[in-house]
Amino acid sequence: MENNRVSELEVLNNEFAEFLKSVPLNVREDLEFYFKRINDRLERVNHANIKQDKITESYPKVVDFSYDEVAASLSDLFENISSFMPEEKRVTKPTSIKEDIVEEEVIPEFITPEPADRIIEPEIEEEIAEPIVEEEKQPNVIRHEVIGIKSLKVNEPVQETKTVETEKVSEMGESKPEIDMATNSLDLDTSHVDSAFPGLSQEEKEFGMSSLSTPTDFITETNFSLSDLEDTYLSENKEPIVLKEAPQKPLDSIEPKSFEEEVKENSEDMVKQQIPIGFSLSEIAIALCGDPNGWYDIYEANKESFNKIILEKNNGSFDNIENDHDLFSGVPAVFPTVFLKEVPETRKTLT
Amino acid sequence: MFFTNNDIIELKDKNYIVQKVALIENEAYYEVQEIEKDTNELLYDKLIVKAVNDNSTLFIEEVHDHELLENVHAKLK
Repeated sequence: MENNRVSELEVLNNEFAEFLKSVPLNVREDLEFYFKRINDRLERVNHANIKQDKITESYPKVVDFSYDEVAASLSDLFENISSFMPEEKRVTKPTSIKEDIVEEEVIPEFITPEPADRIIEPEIEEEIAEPIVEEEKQPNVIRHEVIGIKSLKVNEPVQETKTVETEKVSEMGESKPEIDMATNSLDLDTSHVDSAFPGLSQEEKEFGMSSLSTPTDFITETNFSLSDLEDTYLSENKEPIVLKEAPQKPLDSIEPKSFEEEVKENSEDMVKQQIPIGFSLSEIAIALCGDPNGWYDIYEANKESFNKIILEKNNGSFDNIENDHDLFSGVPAVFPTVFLKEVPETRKTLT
Repeated sequence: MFFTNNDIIELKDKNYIVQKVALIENEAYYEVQEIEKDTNELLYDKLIVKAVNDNSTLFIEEVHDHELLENVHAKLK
């Protein structure tokens, strides 16, 4: 077979040489160049095959070479080398491509170490626990639980502090006698004072007895000491003084007052206020009493000042002064609380 | 609406007084000011809160959203 091949190669070479002679020069050079390259490649392949043959003759098991077996057999060697080398240059074990070869750690029964690399998985409980529902809190929301709600009275001021009222006890040890509001008298028993002070009036006697804290104020001709009065006043048997209410009149005896008298009484409760700008007297009367005719009551209450204004600005004429928005604007006035709402039919002009 | 003006809201450690109320999209917002528990003196801490009923418990929730605060301030009475 080899001889046939060699002879075929020779034939091919001769034919190729004759072909080259007929080709132009530049083409010939290119073909010779490629021919040479191919021959060189073939020679190298032959040379490599020769070498391989020699290696297989001397090392017949090289064909069955597997990297994993070598790595496994040389793993101890790698360890020994690295133990002598510094940490920087220590070479790690060659990792095997196949994972079939795994050395199982032989752990004695009495020791159960937990390897660091092993991940401890939690035991799955048979009963599923209820999920903990947390309140969904937004980052900007803060909640406060309300314990109670109180309503504050409108009149009750918030800033003032509350004061605790205590019972006032007099120096004598008893509650002070309360004053009768109707008669403004203390209503004390002054019978024992009459003998000592016959000329005194009732008020003077009561006044004297009420101010017993200053006994030296009393000047008497007779040999009389206030300690006698004090003893009787401080006696334990003395009953406490009770406030007497004013005598109530029966309803039949109350005489009704005339309307004018009531107006006079209530007219004392005038309200001083500046007339707002742009408002007429009738509009103000509507606001105060609901009737525009009440303007005359306002005029009556401020007659003097209003007459001056009417003379100056309106030439003394009363025509339509109640509906004029500018006449009395900004004028300080007094407003009554009771309105008669009676406007006279005729209006005189001021002169 | 749970509160009105001049109502005092009692919490565990603070009291607030309602000063103004605003209604936005059927939700009531309250401007409250902290007051001392014992003396009812006004303090400086002012807040915008809204009332929340959660499991039959009443809470007040502080409002800090800027856009909402602007709307509330515009409508407070």
